[in-house]
Amino acid sequence: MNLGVNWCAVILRVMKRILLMAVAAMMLAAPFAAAEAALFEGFVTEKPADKNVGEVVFATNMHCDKCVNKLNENLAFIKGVKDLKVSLKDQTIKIKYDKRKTDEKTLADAIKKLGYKADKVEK
Amino acid sequence: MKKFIVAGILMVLCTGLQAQSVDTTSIYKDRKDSLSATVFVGHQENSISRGKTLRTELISASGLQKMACCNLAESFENSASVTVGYSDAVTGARQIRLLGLSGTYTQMLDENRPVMRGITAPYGLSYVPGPWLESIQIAKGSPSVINGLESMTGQINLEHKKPTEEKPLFIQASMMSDTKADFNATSAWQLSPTIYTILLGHVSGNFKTYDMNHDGFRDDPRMLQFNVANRWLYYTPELQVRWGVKAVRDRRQGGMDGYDKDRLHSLVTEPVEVTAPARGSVVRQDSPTAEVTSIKESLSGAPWGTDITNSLLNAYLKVGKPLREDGSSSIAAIADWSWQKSDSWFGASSYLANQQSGFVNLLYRNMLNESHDFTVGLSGTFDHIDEAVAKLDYGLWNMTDGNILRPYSGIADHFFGGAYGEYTFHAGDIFTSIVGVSADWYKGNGLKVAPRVTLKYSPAEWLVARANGGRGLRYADPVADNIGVMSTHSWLKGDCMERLLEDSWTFGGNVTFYLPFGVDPSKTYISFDYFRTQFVRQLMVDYEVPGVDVNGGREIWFFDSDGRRSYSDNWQVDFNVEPFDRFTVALTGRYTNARQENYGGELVEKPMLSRFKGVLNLQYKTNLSRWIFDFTASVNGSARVYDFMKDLRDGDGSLLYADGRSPVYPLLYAQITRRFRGFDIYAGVENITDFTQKHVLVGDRNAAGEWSPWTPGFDASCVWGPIMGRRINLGVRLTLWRATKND
Repeated sequence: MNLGVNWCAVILRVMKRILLMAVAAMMLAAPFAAAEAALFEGFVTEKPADKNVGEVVFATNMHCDKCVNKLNENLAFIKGVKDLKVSLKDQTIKIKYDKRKTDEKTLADAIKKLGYKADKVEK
Repeated sequence: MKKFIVAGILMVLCTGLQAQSVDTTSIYKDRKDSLSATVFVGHQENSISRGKTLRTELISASGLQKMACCNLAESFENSASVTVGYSDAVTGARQIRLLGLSGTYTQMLDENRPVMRGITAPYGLSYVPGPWLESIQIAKGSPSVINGLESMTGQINLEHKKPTEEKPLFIQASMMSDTKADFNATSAWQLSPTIYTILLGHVSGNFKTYDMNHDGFRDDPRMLQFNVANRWLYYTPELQVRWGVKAVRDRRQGGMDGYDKDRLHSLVTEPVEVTAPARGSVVRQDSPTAEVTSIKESLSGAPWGTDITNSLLNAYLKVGKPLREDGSSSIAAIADWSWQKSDSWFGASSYLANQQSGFVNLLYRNMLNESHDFTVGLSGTFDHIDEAVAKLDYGLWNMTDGNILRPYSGIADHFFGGAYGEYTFHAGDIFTSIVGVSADWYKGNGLKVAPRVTLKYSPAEWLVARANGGRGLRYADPVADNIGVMSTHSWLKGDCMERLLEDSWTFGGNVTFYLPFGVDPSKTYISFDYFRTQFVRQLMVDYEVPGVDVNGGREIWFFDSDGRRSYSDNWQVDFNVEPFDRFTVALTGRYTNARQENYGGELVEKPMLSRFKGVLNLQYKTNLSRWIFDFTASVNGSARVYDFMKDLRDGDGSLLYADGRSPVYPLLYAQITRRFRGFDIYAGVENITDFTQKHVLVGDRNAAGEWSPWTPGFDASCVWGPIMGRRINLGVRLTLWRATKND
């Protein structure tokens, strides 16, 4: 009985330490990752356009920030979505996506499934 | 046409029902003093609301997720305005402090209904599960008279998740490394085109307890809490009705393992119900000394602990009717009823109480035009409080007395109610003034008139200045407001059953400068606050009156301030910036100078209140918020400890508080969240540096050198710092979305 309790305590302690180290490492890494991201952000536009990345803008019908939140929460996690800008003011959803993983129709369907319009805006 | 109406309703549901605005029933159109600047875009977290006339701090749902906020008590770690401390080392009761004063002087509102009043207030913060909340608004100073006058230092309004939410299912489950587990589920449904409902459920428990500081007492009590609520909305453009119920049952057992309240109860006499004014009378006055001796011996072998069972029921109804189509004129009625029961045992002492409260508020609002609007109303509050305290104090060790339990009991029926009016003047977006006055009749105290004024001036985009002041009034509840006194063997002196009508004035101001840098300059600001609360009359509690007991027992005195000074000055600075995309920095610092004259008439610094607090919060999110990293560090300033703590010594014999102050200590938190479609998982560490207060218990050791709570000087209420050390938490959130009915 005692042995069991001791084991539990040891395992718990080891788990604690591992988790702690992982968290500490990630917290330390986060600012560097962020700085790196910021460093490269400036270069993105200078890069030649990736032929695998598509961009599409949908006109939609949002009412408030709750809608913005809902769209963000759902669309961000669709396979192939690389970037997302939901604008309440312009009533638009701008999506950058990986053409190999998704297409405009899939994205439009996902928006419609959430209960919103998705009319493609031609440039 | 139908499309138009549906869209219109949706607009109102989105804006009005989101209830960011501080309007009592959420039926009005957005008020100008609560501009929609306070909405949460994506992950806007903690910020000072630009549009609000009052200096209002906003903690959004995503701000709440920065930490494993299991309940409201844990939601303020990021804020310097509010500090949360333990009432004692044994019950797990937490209390907030706003403007350097006890949380009892801050009015807690649940969508603008006063909540957490009375006997279970010390535990109230743990009865609001964090995942039930959409946002928290902290308003400093004297807010609107519409919600009553109990807000002395400010107001904390809780916005729960709404029945109109498009989430048929939301689940949150988390586990701490000390086996504290938390489970929450909410489910919102639209039952018909006009009826919406949301069910909220919560179960939490602390199943295994630890004693990391080896004082023989559990660091955190064993706990089990059930909490359910059901909220409804009936919505048509002509009439809106909201109603709901909430039920809480909570049991917590702290102190030493093996504590058996029934056994202790049988050792000492049942408290005798005495009718006022028999306070201070004694039970078993004629007890033979031999019996006292035998009781003392039996007690000394028994574990000391706490066993608290609280129950709470609440029901409310809000009806709002627009009188004009555009909502510029409306009438509303709010009715609220609650019942609370506390069955609390602290060693051999007990606090048995129940309370029934009713609250009614009727209001009429008319926006005459762009510049002028007014609200008038009638409100009334009724409280029936029945408290019975049986207190074991140092008299037991004093053979000349022979008291076992000292009874204090009181039944109070409070009523206060009256009429109020508030007039708002807008000069465009540049200037707003709100002048309110409330005239209420307080049972036993007569008519009281309380004015409140709020001004907001924003001559340029980059500057907002606010000023605010007014009077606050509330009935004190001496024991419930200071529940920590039950975890001591001190003698309660003075009148701990007299519920004085406390009377205070608070005034102050805020200047916010918006700065032209950062990703979104509208979110880059530096803000300065100053607020002062001054009491005209207060129920004072002095833990430091020099004792006369030969055994070292102490006294806690309750008394009417009766001309003694009591005030608190607060300065605060807040700085917020997003230096580059998705990386936010928030830095805030507070300095408090709270003083009051003690029983002897000497002006002293308020004890156990940290003088300053600084908080740094960093957050970084990867693109599309798939990973979120949060880091919070706070520095907590020193507090003056109670006079009698100056002699406390560490294990090695050195004085713990040589200069009479607690040490400055840091608290660090980190959390990582990984988000997927429909669910998030997170892991975090609390109190990374593992800082805890040394020797949270004050008392003596027995002849064998073991720590013994059965001593005249025992006191478990001397807490200024964290009791819980480093803890790791893991959690998961799951969300199911429903399609918006647009067309």
